[in-house]
Amino acid sequence: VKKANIESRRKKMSQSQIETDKETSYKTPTWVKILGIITLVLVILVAILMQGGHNPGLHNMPSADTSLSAEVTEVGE
Amino acid sequence: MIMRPAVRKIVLMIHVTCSVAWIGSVLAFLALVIIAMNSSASANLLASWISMRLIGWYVIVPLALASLLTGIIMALGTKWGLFRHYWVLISLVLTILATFVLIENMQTVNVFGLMAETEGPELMRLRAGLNSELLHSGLGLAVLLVIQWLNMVKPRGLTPYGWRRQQEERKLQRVVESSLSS
Repeated sequence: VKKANIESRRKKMSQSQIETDKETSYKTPTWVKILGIITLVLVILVAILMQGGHNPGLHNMPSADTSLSAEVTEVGE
Repeated sequence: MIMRPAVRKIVLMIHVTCSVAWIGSVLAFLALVIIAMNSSASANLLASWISMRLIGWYVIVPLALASLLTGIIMALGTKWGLFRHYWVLISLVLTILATFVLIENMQTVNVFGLMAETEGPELMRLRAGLNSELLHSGLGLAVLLVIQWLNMVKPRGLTPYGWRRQQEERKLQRVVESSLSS
């Protein structure tokens, strides 16, 4: 009798697990959605900044032909 | 492959140390930028650029790479996995992004740092270059703090891949349980 009870319990449990698995479909967590929206806004902002002439890595790069020492010697002459 | 507890603890210790040190070194970089911006003395400006270049190459970049590497090892060597949980995946993406931007920005810092070491540097250009460094280090610090928050809180949420793997594992477990009972 005990064995039969255990068996029926196991069957019930496995059936309920299958049912709950069928019911629960995949959902993206809310915090991921919020973080995604923030990232999207930031990416758009960066894109706007880049269109305005801001080029990462190349901004404020000094050119070799316009050094202060060269300017000073020119003024001195 | 799951790491043994002793190995996991050592890797975790290195990972936490590198990650926290990365934040600390970015703070030091940011402090140099702010000091140079608010000082009229050219000596402070030159010293800041030289220090920023050295701190960048010899402290921040190695710490960033070490943090990324140990993070990947930790994810692959524990139950978390690299693509199963959103907090791990987002941390990984943000760390790769931060490291990439850091190395790219270091090219600019390198040029200015070397210029500050030479005789007759362009003070106006060096001063103008600080705005970009304030933006980079400020945003970098914000990203690192987000990564730290994710690593501390570990917010729940499986990725679609992680969810599928979990379903497969549950099914397998049920099959094993039913075969053992019968």
